[in-house]
Formats: sequence, C-alpha cells, structure tokens
Amino acid sequence: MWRRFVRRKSIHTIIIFILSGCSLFEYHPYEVIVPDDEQNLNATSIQTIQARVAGKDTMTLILMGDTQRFYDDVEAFVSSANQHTADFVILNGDITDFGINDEFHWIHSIMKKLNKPYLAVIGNHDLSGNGELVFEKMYGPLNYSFITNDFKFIFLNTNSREYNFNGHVPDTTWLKNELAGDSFKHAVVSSHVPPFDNDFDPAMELAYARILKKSTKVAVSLHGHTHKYSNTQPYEDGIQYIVSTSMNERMYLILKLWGDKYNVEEIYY
Amino acid sequence: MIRFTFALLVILYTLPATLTAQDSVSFKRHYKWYIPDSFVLQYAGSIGFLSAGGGYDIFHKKASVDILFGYLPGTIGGHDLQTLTLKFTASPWKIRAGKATTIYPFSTGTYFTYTMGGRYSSDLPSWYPDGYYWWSEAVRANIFIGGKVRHKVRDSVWEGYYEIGTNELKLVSYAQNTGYLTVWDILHAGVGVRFYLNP
Repeated sequence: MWRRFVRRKSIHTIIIFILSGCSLFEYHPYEVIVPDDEQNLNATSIQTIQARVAGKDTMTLILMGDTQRFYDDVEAFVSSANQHTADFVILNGDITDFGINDEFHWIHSIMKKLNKPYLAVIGNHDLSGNGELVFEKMYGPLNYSFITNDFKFIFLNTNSREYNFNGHVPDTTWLKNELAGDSFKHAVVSSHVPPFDNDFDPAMELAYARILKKSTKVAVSLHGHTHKYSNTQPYEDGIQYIVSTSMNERMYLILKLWGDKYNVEEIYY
Repeated sequence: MIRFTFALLVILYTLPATLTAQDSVSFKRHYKWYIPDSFVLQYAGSIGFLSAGGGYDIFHKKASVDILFGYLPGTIGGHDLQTLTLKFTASPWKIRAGKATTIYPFSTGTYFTYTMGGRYSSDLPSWYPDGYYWWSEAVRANIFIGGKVRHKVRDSVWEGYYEIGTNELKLVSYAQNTGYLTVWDILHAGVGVRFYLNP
C-alpha cells in the first residue's frame, strides 16, 4: 500500500517536472510559446512612452534594427544606448534571423536591459516559420499606432515579398485612415522595408509615397532592412527617408523631433 | 528539396531494414523486412509534443534508425505542427547492470525533421531571388547525444532514453555569438520509450 503510494507519487512528480519545469524540452523550433511577462510588449511600452514624454516640446528617439543573429552586437548596443538620453527606441524589424521562438526570446532578454522602452516592428526575416504568430503574441498587431504630444507614430508591415506581392502588404487603406483626422499635428511612419527597396511591392511604391505626401503631416519615414545607413529624399517631395543599419555595423541613430523639424545624429559604438 | 528529402527518407528507410532482414535469417524472426523491430514513443526533442513511430536495429543492434511522426497541438504549442523525423542513433557501449538490465551510457546521432504543410516551404519559393534565404523552413537538421537503459520484463524488452541536441540554425547562432549565448541556450532535450515487438 505504502509502496504503491510512493511509486505513484514519484511518477507524478516526474511527469510534472517534465511538463513544466525544464525549459530544455522544446516541442518544435516554430512553437509559439511566449511567457506571460513577454506578451503585449508594444502596448506596455506605449503606455510608458506616453508617460515619459508628457509635456515635452522635443522628443528623442533611438533608431536601430536588423538585430538578427547579432546578439553580441545588440548587447553592446544596449550598453551604448543606456549612456544616451532618449525617450524610446524603435527596433525596425528583422528582430530574428529565422523567425524561431528562441530568437525572439533571446533578443528581448537583451533589449529589456535598456533603460528606456522599446517598440518593435515586423521584418521579413521575422515572418519565416511561425514568426508572425510569435510576433503577434509577443509584441502585438503587425500594424499599430499611438498618439502623444500632437505626434502620431504609425508602425506597419511593409514586407511585401513575404506575401508574394499580393497587393495587401503594406495595407495602404489602413495607412490612409491612420493619417486622416485632426487628433494630431505631425505623423512619423516606421516600417522595415523602405518603399524604394526591391522587397517592397513595386506596384504600390509610388502610391505609398503619395499617401505620405498627401497627408501633409509626415516629415520623416523610418526604416531598416538594407543593412546600410541612408538619409535621403528619394521622391523629392520633402519627406526624409531615414534607414538605420544592421547591428553588426555597430551604428545607430538618434532622432530628435520637434514640430515639423527633426535632427539625425549617427552614433558609432 | 521535397523530392530530395523523400528520396533520402526512402533510401535510409530501406537500407537498414534490408540489413535487418539479412540479420534476421540467423535469428528466429520470419517477419517481413518492413515490420519495425520496435515501437517508439517520444516526448519533446524539437519534433513535436509527442512523437510515435517505428525503429529498426542496425549494425548488430549497436545502432538504430527510427521513423517518427510528431505532433504538437495548438493548445500546447500555439499552432498545430506535424512533423516527420528520420533519426539515426548509435549506442556503441553497454554495461550490464543485473540480469535483466543493460545501460547504454552514451548515444549519439542525428535526425532530420520535415515539418508538414504548405505554410513551411522546403526550398525557396519562386518569387525570391536565388540565395535570398539559405535555410529551409520545413527541414531541420539536428545532432544530439544521450543515453538509454534497456530492461527485460518477462518476454518483452523495454528501453528508456534521453537525448540532448541542437539544430543547425541554433548552432550557427551560437557560433557567431559566444559572448551572449551559452551552450545551454541552444540545446533542446527529448525523452522516450522504446518497446521491442519481437526481441
């Protein structure tokens, strides 16, 4: 009787240990398993940002991205960024290289050491495997926006090639709606693939640029993807397209925004 | 790539089975070659929540080839995943531990996993330029080490095994980031039982 009880109890303990305890037990690289404290990260960051910037004339942003498989460099970035004053950080896509669950977790465990909130945008590499599902669970919707200090910050998925240029990515109808209205004076648009890149749907490029121009509220459009810093006006329409480089280049940008003015500073670390 | 994977599967499937069939001449067995020597049930190991399949002993029972179907239900893994795994395990040394028990202290091997469904491409779809992504979504290559214990209960033989391994994507991530990542970050483990049908 006693022996049977002990045996049953130990089997029970073993099963509980196997099922819950040990993180070594992976079910699949593409599993979509995100701990509670790593969910809805963008929404949480937005609340913190709104509290941080309240009443400020000038907002300071750090632009970086393409952290994919550059963990050591991202750690160094965090050390460097923590030395600079900024209201928040934008991680402009390609968080991961292979879209696997572990990679999202690794990057967040480095980025959470920042002494300021960060927002993440989806990149083409993040859409590999089940990366889209992991991103949604971890960071939230692929297209999102928030308003603070008369500024609207708009983030969207522009990884058209990942959807075989199906005409729905980027979602220009959504973007048009986001840019309409008078609840804000200025808008900043941020996405991974810049419209002038080959991976952006060529049939939508000019229409996209026109939407930004027509709104009259956009001064800067922020991107990643090319692994090369650029700061240009490709459509000669007064809108500056700023592309941050990949982490292995050990460089990021500090963007200051006030009214319809801005300033970009390059930081090497 | 799909075709290549399946060709590989067929070759690796039939080769050891043929060897086993020849072996079996000297044994009492008179089953057809394709009847597996053992049934396998595995938990985790990066191929599913639970996986089941058949195993074939090769190289005088010093190694085995397993073909497993793995399943990860959406309620546990966030999304339904089905896999096919071809696994080669070598367990070269054994230690007798009593009349009915044998310990195989060290196993090593490799397994290839194919994740089913059009959602995961085997090779780069046509709308990407050549070499755009170098890895396949559907096929993973793993290496592992582990061990097992064999126990005889009356007329049947049972084995319990564990394995700890990694895949090529996590390995390349580690190789380039030995500062931040540790070996433990890239490892994944599985445990399983094997039941011999006709020992």
